[in-house]
Amino acid sequence: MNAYASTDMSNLSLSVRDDLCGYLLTGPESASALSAAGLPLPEAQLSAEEAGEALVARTGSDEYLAFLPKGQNAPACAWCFPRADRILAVQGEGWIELMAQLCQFDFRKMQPGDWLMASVAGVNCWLYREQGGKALLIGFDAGFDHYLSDIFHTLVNELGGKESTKGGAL
Amino acid sequence: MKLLDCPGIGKRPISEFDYVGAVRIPPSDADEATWADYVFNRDNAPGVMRERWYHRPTGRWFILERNTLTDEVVGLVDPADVRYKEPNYEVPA
Amino acid sequence: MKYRLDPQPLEWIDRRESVSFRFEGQSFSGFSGDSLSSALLASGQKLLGRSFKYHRPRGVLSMANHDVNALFQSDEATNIRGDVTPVSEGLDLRACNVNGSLANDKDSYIGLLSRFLPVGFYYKAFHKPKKYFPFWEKIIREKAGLGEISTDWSATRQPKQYGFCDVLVIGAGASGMSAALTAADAGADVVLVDENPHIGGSLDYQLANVKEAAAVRADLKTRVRSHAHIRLLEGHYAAGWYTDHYVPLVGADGIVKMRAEQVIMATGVMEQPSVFRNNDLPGVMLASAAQRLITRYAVKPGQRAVVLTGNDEGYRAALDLLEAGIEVAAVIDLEWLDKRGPWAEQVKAKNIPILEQSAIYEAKGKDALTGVVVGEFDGRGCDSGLTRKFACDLLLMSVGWAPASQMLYQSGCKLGYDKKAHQILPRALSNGQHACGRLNGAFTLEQRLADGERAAKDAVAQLNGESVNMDLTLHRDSVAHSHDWPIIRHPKGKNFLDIDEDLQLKDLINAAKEGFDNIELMKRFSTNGMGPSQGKHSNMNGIRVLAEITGKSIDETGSTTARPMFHPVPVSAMAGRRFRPERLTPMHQWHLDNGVQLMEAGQWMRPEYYLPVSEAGASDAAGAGQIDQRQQAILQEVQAVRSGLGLIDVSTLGKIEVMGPDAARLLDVVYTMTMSTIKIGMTRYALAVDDSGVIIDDGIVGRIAEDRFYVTATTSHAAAAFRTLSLKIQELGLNVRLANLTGSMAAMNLAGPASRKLLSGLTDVDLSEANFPYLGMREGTLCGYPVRLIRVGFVGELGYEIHLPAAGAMEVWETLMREGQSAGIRPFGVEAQRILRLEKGHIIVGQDTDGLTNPFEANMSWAVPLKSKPWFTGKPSLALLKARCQRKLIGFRLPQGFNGQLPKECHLIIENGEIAGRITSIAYSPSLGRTIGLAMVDLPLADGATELKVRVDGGAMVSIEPCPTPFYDADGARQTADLTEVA
Repeated sequence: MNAYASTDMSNLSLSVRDDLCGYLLTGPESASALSAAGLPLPEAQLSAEEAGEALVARTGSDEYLAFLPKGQNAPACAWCFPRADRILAVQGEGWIELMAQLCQFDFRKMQPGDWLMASVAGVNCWLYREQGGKALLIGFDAGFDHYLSDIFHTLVNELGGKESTKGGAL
Repeated sequence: MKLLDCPGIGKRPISEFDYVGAVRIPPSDADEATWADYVFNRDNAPGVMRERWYHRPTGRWFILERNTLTDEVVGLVDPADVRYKEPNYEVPA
Repeated sequence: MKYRLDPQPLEWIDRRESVSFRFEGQSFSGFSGDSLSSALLASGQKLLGRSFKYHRPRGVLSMANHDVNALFQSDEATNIRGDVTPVSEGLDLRACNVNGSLANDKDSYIGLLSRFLPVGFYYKAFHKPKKYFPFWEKIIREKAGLGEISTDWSATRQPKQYGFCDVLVIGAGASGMSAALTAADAGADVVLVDENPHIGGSLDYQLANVKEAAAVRADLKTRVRSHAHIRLLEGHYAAGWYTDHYVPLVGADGIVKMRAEQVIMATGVMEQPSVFRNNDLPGVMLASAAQRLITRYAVKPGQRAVVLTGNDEGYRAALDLLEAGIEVAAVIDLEWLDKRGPWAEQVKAKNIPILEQSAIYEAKGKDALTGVVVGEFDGRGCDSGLTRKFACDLLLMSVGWAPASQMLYQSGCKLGYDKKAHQILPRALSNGQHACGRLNGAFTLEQRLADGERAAKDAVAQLNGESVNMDLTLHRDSVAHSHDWPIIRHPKGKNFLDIDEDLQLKDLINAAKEGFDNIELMKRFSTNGMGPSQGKHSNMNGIRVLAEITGKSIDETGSTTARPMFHPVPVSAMAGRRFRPERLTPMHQWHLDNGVQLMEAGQWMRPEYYLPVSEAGASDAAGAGQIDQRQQAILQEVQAVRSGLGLIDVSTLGKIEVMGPDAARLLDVVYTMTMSTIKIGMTRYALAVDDSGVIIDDGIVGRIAEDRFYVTATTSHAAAAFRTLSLKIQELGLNVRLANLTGSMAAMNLAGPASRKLLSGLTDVDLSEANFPYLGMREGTLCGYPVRLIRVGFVGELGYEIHLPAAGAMEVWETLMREGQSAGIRPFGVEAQRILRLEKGHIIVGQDTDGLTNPFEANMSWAVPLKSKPWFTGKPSLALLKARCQRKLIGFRLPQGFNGQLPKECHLIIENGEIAGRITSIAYSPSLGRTIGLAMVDLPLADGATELKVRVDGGAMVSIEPCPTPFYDADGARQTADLTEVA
């Protein structure tokens, strides 16, 4: 069973991005706080921008999700909350076929730099395709880590890919 | 799986949405019959309806104009157009 | 394999690979690529099964996945369809619906009783007297059914995949391939799907020997296979049409859930049988079945054949038989020869006898066909007086076609009967739907190719947003390929309309006579089309018969709609992977390491209780042996909280930060009590009702700053609470921001007399009663982590809810457990918490309340400020309900030392033989030494004095004694005062 032109699955890999810390910023101060921290401000709602190792997504008129490398200070803003997201990264040509078993979105339409919030295997997730198409990041509440990591782990194995432990063990 | 063509976020599976029905405004200083009508009765006539949909993955509410007869989404409604001030209700003496 | 032909140019079998299997205890062999039926026929086994009702011998009918009498079973599986299931090494098959052996079925006598088993027999015969029905039911159930299910099965799941394309083409015959190529050439992303293991469709089996088709076939196949824009899915069938162009494609490995912008149906037509006496004998088959056997499997379907035809295709089949070396005794044409085309000329040129205006009056034979009786046919009936007989072991039926239009019907398209074609054809399709080929009445090869191209051009135009003036009639044939009445009456019957269910012509006539003369009613009463083939070979004739009886047109008669799935789909394919989200708290690993017994709470896994680790010997000391380990653990957890210290993980609570100038206004609207008056650093109980005044949630609201609040919600209502708050912001246009912290914050409740003492050494927050009173909320650090501490009273002891970012939760939890050891700290679970709060008389929303409970019934009028608040959600309803309270939640207790049968939650309270209430919570209270509970009772019984009777399991009545709540520490001294004084 495969509705996709067969791709090379051997370079499909899964890793954990525990080098990123997430923050939710909201309210009128959020944009200036991000700017002050040297972070980009995505223009459109539900879009994201990368800056170095950091990723900022705009999720509302003055609401942002910022993912910063560990050790970097949180943006200074009264309404800034640490998030407990688990972030998985899928790499390799076969990523679309992997996601086609988990999410109803047509991932062939997802371009590098695109931000998406969708249900993946029944869990609300955010998804971001890194610039240059390096990896697809999938972020979700860490409470679902056990459940979703298990599913991704199984799928990568079944599809013939491998796991890398870059950034942390599964 | 049905899709909802949401002008806000594009075509998404309907399973990602919660539906609460037509946009309704609670009546102010309503008598019992008016209030009961508001709470319990729905028109349900086929046609273009303004409905509230909640998209769980983005945590957003959308007000869509949808033709319930043809299941076509006609447009997105600006929440300001259907905004209301919380009504008043004095308990009768 | 004596019936195997020399290699055929398009055959599917691989003669290098022989496969052996067993059928009915005998060994058979075939080739890889054979279907079970073709392999059996190649070995001369024509008898493949017994019919459902009369146990009549049956063989091949269609070879197109409609042969429901060739239904086999193995030890592992049932419903193995012989005509399409590939042979595999070592299979051990039995025919189903057989009593004894296939060859000597002990139930074949039932056929002799058929005149006593009229249509509707079961409905009429066994329903009176009612008491005997179980007896008859047992017998009927034993006789009915198609195979035995092995109860020793193992669960299998096949992953599903979502697929997307611009154009989905269903059916890879001539028109389908033509359509796919046209669309792909125009740049569309095309998926071409065919249920057969190989593409080609009727181009391969019907036009196999037509020279002009050869070049077309080679060209189409080569281009389809190599086109960069075509994804080809062979061996997959489109199982149904679902809204928004959602078409599940089912293959051997599972389902692809295809979403297509445009769908082109090139599903072709299904050949229909003629109805005459004994038309079900092995050896009687559709012409296309014989063509499939010859071209795909190189199997000779018989030695001497008669062909019954009502169209050109019958002559094509006769020519194909001759090519395969089969003698053709005669062609019986329902009409005049001058209506036919060049294939008929060729048959005539070979001196094959052709009987015009004739029909098969009856077929002869016991277990297989031995001959046919032919009579003159006037288009309606067959004259039995003028008959000719032909000896033959093969009779082909080529009398017409029904469109494979199941999905067109499912999608709501309009179809209608074309009187010229004598076929139902699509009339109007909705946007994104297309039909071409024989399904659309295009029958010659040129027509099919052109029609495929036309449909694809329409699809591409619609894809590009152009408006299309769709003309479905452009390439339709002007010649009919179906006969409008291939149905022959016979005084002795056995002229089967539906061989799934053994329905004879008279059954439909009788059904109509009994008043079931509407197509839907007739289907249900007669069961026509309700068997495993779902009307694929019976629906069309059923419509013709009903139209004849009622004198209505075919269009007026209408058609039933075949529901999805088009073919049976295994449950394993529908099940897919198991996607059942499970959510864990940040302290989950600690729970696992410390004897936790988990329970589900929505998506969450929560500690129900912990098995005692250190007091293993205590169960012997308790001696009774009646208190099980679970109960004992829970009671110990309760006692730990009451006497020393307990810690519970409450991270599952909804946690929402509400910020902005209108934050207080929002909370005033959403919750019954006034939140705008909460002082900074204090919390208030938060009760939410809906518009009708029904309790939907409770929690607390704490004020952090003038414009900032922290709100908690019950575990099950957390997502809904966030949703409601954001909805009200939109409705009222409020300047408020929300942050849903449910997953990013952990929470735990440290409860018990020793809680202040333990915390004081670990936090910088001033815990003194004066500076941090009951219901207060303070921010500070704990073990170095930023925390919010809330003085809550849910379990009725001095206690602190500790909220902090998830990252620090495990360390704080472990520190508290370690430092609390000297105070006898125990982790406690949801069960202990339920008892603790019950002792305090606190309700649990959703347990002590239901979908109709309002706050007055739950004794919470104190939480409904009708006078002081101008508005909150549900206020008018509550104002009206206040004076109309019908029932009330009351506390009750059982006598100390009660040792009768314990009532349970949801047991009913009975008064004068009527239901007067129910128990909502009940538990043994270790603090009170007796069983206590809450019950929702009718108002007259809620006076606190009336003794109540509860009907327990088994029907016994148990008395319960009403009593005031709280049951424990009624003044709340233990949670509000400095515990050093109380203790």
